[in-house]
Amino acid sequence: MPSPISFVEAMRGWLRSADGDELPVSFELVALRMHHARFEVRGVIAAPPLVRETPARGTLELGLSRLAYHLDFVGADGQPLHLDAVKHPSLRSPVLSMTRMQARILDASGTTVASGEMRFALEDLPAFVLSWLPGSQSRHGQRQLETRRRGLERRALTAPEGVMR
Amino acid sequence: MPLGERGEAQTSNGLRYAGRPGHVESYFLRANDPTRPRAVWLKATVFAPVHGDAQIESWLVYFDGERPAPVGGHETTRLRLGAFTEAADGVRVSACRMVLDLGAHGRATGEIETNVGAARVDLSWEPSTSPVAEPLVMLRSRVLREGPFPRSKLLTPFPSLRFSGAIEVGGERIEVADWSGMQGHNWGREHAFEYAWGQCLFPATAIEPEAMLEGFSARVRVGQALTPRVSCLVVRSGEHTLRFDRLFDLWRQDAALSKDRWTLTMTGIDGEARLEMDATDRPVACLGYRNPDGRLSYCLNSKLARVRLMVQPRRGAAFARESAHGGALEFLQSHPDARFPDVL
Repeated sequence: MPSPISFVEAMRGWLRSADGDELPVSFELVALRMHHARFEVRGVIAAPPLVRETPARGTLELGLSRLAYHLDFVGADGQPLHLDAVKHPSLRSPVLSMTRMQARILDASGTTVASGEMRFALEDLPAFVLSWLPGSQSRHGQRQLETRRRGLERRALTAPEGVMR
Repeated sequence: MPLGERGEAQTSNGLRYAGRPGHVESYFLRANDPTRPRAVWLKATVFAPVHGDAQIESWLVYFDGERPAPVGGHETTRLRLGAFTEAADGVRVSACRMVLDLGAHGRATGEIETNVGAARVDLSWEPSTSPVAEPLVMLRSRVLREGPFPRSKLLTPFPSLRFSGAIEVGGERIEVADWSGMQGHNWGREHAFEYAWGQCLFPATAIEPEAMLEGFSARVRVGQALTPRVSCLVVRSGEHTLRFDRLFDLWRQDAALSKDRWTLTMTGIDGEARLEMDATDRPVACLGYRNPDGRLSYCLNSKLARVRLMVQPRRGAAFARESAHGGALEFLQSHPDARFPDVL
C-alpha cells in the first residue's frame, strides 16, 4: 500500500559538461507516494544552458547504503535527458554523506553530457525534516509544506518544456 | 541609514566636486549594438590636480569588432564656470566640445578629434522599462559611499538604457537604433590602484526576463599599503536582485585577472555566482587616467567582451546568461602595457 509520507527536497550544485564548461544545476522535488522503498517524485530541474527550468519526474530509491535519484526531463534543445544521482549514507560522516551526491545527466543514448556534485543546503534542513513528519506537523508547518508543493507544481506546469515520457 | 538600492536617480548624478584640489570625477555612457560587435563609449571627467588648475576632459572611443583597433579621441580644457548646470532631468555637463545632458531621458551631442579625424555624436536615450533599470548602488554602506575610504566611489544611476541617434567616425555615419547601454558616475581623491570592472546587459527573451550584472575586483590604497583584492557583484534578473557585496569577506570570493580576462566566483546569502568576462581578440583602447597627485594610471577599456554568467540562487532555479560581445570590461593598472604603445 503506498505510503502517505511525502516531503519536499531541493538540491543544487555544479556540473561540468562534456565540452568542459561549468553549469549550475538545481532541482526541487516533491515526493508524492512511496511503494516498496521507492518514492515517486515530481518537480522542476534546471542546468542552464543545457536545461532551462523544466518539469522533471522520476523516482527516489531508498536503501540502507544508497539513495538514488532518477529523473526524466526535456533539455533546452527539446531532446529527452535523464539525471542519475546517488548518495551513500555513512555513519562515519553522516552530514557530509547525506548532503552531497554525485550527479550526471545523460542523453537518450545513455551518454553522459554533464557530471558533477550536488548538495543539500543545510539552511533547508528544518523545512526538509518538517516535511517528513506528517503526524507531528504543526498546522503552520503543514500550510508551509502545502504552499511549497503548490508552488512547485505551478512552476512545473508553467515551465516552457513539457513533461516527458 | 544605508542608502536604498532603488531610487535616488536624481541625486546619483549630482556633482561631488566642491572646487577643492585633489579630486577626479567622471560621468560615462556606453552603448552596444545588440546585433553586431559595435559599441561607443563617452566620458566627461573633472580633473582637479593637487597642484594646478582644474580641467575638464572629454573622451570618446568607438569599438568595432570588424576593425583592427578602436577609434578614440580625448580633449582637455580648463574647467570653467558653467561646465556643470542643473537640467530638467538631471545635470548638464559641458566637456570641451561635447555636451552631456544626463538624466533618465538624456542626450549627448558634440564633437571630438580622434586618431582618424573628427568624430561627432548625437545620441538620445531612455531607460528600459524592466526592473533592471532601477539605479544601482554597489557600495551599500553609507560609510563606504561617503566616507574617506575607499578613495574612489562609484554609482550607476542608469544601469539599463536604450540609445538612438547617430555617431560619425572618420567620415562614416553609424546609425544607432535601440542600442543598449548604461550611464555611470564615479569620483574620488584618486583612481583605485588596480581594478577589473564589468557590466553587461542581457536582453529579455521569450523565456527569460532582462538581466544585468555589474561588478568589480579591486585593490585600493590605505595609507601607503594596499588592500587585498576585494570584489563585489550585483546580478539582477527581472525583479530579482542577488547581491554579493560583503567586500571583505575574502573567504567567499575568488577573483582572477589576466591580461584580457576576468573571472569571479562569489558566494553569499543570495547564493553563488560565477562570472567570466573575456576581451581576448577584441578591440581594446588604452587610456591614460591622471591622478590628482600626478601619477598616471592605465585603463584597458573594452566594450565588446564575451560574457558568461552562471548563478545558483539561494532560492529558485539556477540560471545562466551569455553575451557574445556585449560586455563592458575595463582593467586599471599602475603600469603601462607594452601591447598598447599609444595611450589615449
